[in-house]
Amino acid sequence: MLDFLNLIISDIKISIRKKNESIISIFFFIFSILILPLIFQGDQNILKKFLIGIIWFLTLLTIIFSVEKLFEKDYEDGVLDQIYISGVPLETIFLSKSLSIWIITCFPIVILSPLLLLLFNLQTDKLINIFFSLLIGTPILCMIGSVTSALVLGFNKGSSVISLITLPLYLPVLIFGIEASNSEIIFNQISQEFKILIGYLLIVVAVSPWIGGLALRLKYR
Amino acid sequence: MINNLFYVVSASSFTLLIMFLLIVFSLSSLKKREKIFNKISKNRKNE
Amino acid sequence: MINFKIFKYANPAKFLNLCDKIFIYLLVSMIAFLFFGLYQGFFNSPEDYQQGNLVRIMYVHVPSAWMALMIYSSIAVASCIYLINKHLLANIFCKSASLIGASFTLIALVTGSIWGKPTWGTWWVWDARITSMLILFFLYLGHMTIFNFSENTTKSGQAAALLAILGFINIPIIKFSVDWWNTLHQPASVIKLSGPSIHSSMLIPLLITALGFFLYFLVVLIIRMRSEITNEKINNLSFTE
Repeated sequence: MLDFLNLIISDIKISIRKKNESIISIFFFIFSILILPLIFQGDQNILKKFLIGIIWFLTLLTIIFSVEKLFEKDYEDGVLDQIYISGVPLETIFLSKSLSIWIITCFPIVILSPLLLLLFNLQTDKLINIFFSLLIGTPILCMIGSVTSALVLGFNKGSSVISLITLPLYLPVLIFGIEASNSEIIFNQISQEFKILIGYLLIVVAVSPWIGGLALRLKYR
Repeated sequence: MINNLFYVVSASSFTLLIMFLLIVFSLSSLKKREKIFNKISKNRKNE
Repeated sequence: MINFKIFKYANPAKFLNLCDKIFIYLLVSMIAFLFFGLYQGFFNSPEDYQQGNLVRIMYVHVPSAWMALMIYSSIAVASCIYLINKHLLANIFCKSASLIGASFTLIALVTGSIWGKPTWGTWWVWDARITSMLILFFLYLGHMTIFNFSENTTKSGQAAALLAILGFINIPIIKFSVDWWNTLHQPASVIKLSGPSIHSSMLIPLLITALGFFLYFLVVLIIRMRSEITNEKINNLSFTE
């Protein structure tokens, strides 16, 4: 447990000090949202219609960019070897890595996107919906992305086709996430789409550390 | 009705075509690999 | 370690022996079932009162969709067995079943869109079930590409097994998407808790055709697995030189 926390803290420290891609990808997210009105020529109605879908799509792209080389860099540095040799189980390494990438990239997105959407004159209910659906949905995306990036770590050809493997796994999350953001909260009851999304999150959290640990083990055999 | 029949025929013929092609493809790869295997094992025996 | 009696056939030589014995029966019964089922479906079954002749596309569309889902589930189960017990045959099963599943998914998609053109007016609708079937197709493609990553069959096989298990989370979504969303697609009418809601004159040919498709899957599977086993033998021979 202590290893786990230490790994997360050191990852966050490193990424703040180095200002690497995962930090830059947040700026990518913010800028592309601010560019949107230019694309739609300031037409508020069209923009409102597509805004939620676009937010989800941009989140997905940001996560793909930041997760793609999650393990590759540490492996090339030799950091991954060092952690592995010091006796930390691979499952812990995997979980800490995917959690730290969530804290570094996704948490700012989850916090910022409702604030950014204030600029687009949306209703308050929608903002709350988007906040919660991103809060539930982004960990799923992060976990699945880290599993695939751990999978292709063992192969030389892998990194070129990682998006082909990852994208189909992302699509259900995207569909349910957008449905959940558009759903209406009636009398404080959680809508069905949210329940499906939460169920998906629970399954992924239960299954993916195990799969990710086995995937990392492919490299260390 | 003739129009509908055209759709039915095209769908079913597409299905049968794909199934047939899959069988032919698998059989040809099996034949190729067995030929290679026989050649290698014959060489092995001669040595 | 899980152990079942059927695992005594995990030895490739024993498996091939068994296949040799039953292959001809499978082939004959496949041809009989396919011929009888399709004949019954296309010429002897009643027309639908709404869709007319078009309903006959169902006899190729529905079995192939079932097969696509069934094959992916069986791949996921075999992947679990491979990861736990390290039977080579489970890996070979995954490798050879994947292409068959992908082609069944393609058949379901294409026949579905041919059916959709006269009934809905478009070739393609972005509704829940069609989209999730497309996702299934992409899952199959990813599963197939991972086997080509490396010459080492065990390594790429384990990676593919992990991917298959991860993708298996989507299968329930695909199966029940029709009931969850109320979309254009027909609700499931055969596999339901309250019993099938389809008339027996249509149901019987459908089930016979589905059985024929299943036997077809077994026949092609045996051919492909035999070819993969031969490939393994070639690799072993050339490594020991």
